[in-house]
Amino acid sequence: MVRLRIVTVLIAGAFTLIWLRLFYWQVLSHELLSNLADNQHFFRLEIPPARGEIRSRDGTPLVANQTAYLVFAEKKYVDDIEEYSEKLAPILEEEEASISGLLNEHDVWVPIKHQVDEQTVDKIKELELAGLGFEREDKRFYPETSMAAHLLGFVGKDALGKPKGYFGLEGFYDKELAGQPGFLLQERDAYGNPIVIGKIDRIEPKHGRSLVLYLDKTVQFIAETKLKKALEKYGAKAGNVVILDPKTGGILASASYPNYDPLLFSEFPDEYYRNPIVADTYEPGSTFKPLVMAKAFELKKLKPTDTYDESGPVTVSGYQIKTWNSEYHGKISMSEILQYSSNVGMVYISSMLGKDGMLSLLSDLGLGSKTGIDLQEEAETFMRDESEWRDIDLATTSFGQGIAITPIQMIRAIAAIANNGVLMEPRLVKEIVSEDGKKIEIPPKETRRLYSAPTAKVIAELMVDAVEYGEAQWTVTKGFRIAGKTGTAQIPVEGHYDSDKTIASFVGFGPVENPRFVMLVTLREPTSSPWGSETAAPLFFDIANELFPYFGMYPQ
Amino acid sequence: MKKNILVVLSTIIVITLFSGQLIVSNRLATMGAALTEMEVQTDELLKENEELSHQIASDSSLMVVSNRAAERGFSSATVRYLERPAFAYQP
Repeated sequence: MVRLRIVTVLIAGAFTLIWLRLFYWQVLSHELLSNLADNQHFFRLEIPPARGEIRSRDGTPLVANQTAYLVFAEKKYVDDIEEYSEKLAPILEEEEASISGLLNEHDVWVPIKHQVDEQTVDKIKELELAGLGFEREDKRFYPETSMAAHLLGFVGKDALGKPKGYFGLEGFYDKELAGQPGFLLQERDAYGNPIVIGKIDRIEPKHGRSLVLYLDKTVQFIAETKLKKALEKYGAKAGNVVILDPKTGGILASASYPNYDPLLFSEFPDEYYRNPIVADTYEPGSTFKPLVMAKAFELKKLKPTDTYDESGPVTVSGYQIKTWNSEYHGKISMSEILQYSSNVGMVYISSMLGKDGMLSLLSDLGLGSKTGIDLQEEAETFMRDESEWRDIDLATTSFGQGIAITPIQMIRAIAAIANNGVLMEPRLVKEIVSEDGKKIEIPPKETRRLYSAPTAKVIAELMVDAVEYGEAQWTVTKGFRIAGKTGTAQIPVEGHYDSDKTIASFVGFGPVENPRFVMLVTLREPTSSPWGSETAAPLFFDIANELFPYFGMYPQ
Repeated sequence: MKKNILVVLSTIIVITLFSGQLIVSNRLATMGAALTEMEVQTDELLKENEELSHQIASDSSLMVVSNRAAERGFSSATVRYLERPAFAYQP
């Protein structure tokens, strides 16, 4: 009887143990085991979207995508770190010490190198190193290498290691270009092959949209090549060339030096990333004069036929203002004020305009605000409070000193003269193309009317005279009616102007009857000559000479 | 008699369907490898397409075109515009 009870208890105990074990596996460990089974049966993959391309106006890519990989190692499979590093270093073109440093630094998963191309990956695979893995991560491809780098920006990583656009168009249109990732869940067999009748969930990625620019590759190439040569010729530290279509505000070209390679952006100093045409300000000097004179005509404070007696220096608030060459021509016309680039003549015009007229001009030009160009790093220029403007400030502003303006604000204002007085919003992107080829056109946008059409026409004619009879007449291409103005502005250094350091510039458009382009050229601290008429103007006409035949323009 | 025919027919149908399912499932179950192969081939073709697009883009880049032109002896045309002569020209 006792033995029977013992057997019963033992059997009951055994069943209890089995039950408890089953309870442990089926209830307590349910989630863990389900996940393990899921991971074994199901293949999960986030499908990265292809980033949108950036194309020039002819549809050819300036930025496309290229397949690349992240090379990583699983530390638990790495037996000999030194040997591992020694084999990988020459193929990855990295120092052995930096690879072994990474392997020593991380415990589980070690990212060794990002954006490795396919050929290199194939070579690494031949090494058959244990624990080495490859994860696809597309990288940007630049067929024209560093062309228009400041406009394009570059793609780096965000805090989570995902691709993110910085600066220029990549930064401004990051959301449009990035797209949305897709997802794949697929049941697989023991060999890793998909089970056709098994479960498949697939959400397709939404690829990024592509951008089609106003930028003309040929014009950009001309501008970059000529600017690079000019920097050497004139010994300038930096330079910009911006070319714009006055009717649409579309940027046809924008070249700035020094620049950087967007593919190797991390090898360049951070200060190279910002586009100087929108992020840097400068004092425009005499190139600002036509804008002030046009305002005086617009407000009917002066007529184009009026004259001014340029008899000597003028004094404003105790400060003496002279002409740039200390030459005085007596009674001169409005046209001659521009031709001689007369500072004292402009002081007279600003006195006729008065404080309200001058401040109205600055406000109309958009000083103190952004132009709205589609570039990430556009700076908001500083505009002092109305009460802070003194007579001397208004006087120096009339000849472009004492105010800060971005190159894009300057060229936009001159483009308004070329566009019958209408100020356009400068723009790079002409249309956005979605994955399915659907095009969204971005129409040109008028900001406001800056001058009436007759005023714009008159000032354009005076600017033609300034080109043909002014200081830069020696470099002008005969047969084309180009409106323009030279500028030489001293650079403020620690509260005073350094007479040896200038920004030489030239802004103009042509042909006057039907302007095809507006161009601004600036050269920082040219050493061959400080004057805009001897540096920036020849560069302007050197580029213009190439543009005339390209645009189908012939001498009259 | 009718009952027997129905039983036989039902049995035949069941066996046929069962066999059919067996054959179809068997074929589908082994198609995973073929599907993988097709996926690999699709990837390879896409990569090839991408490489060719890059080659076209690189070879037609202005930098490459101008360098090749220079190598072949082409130089940038210097456009000279002649001014109208101050005197009347008569043949």
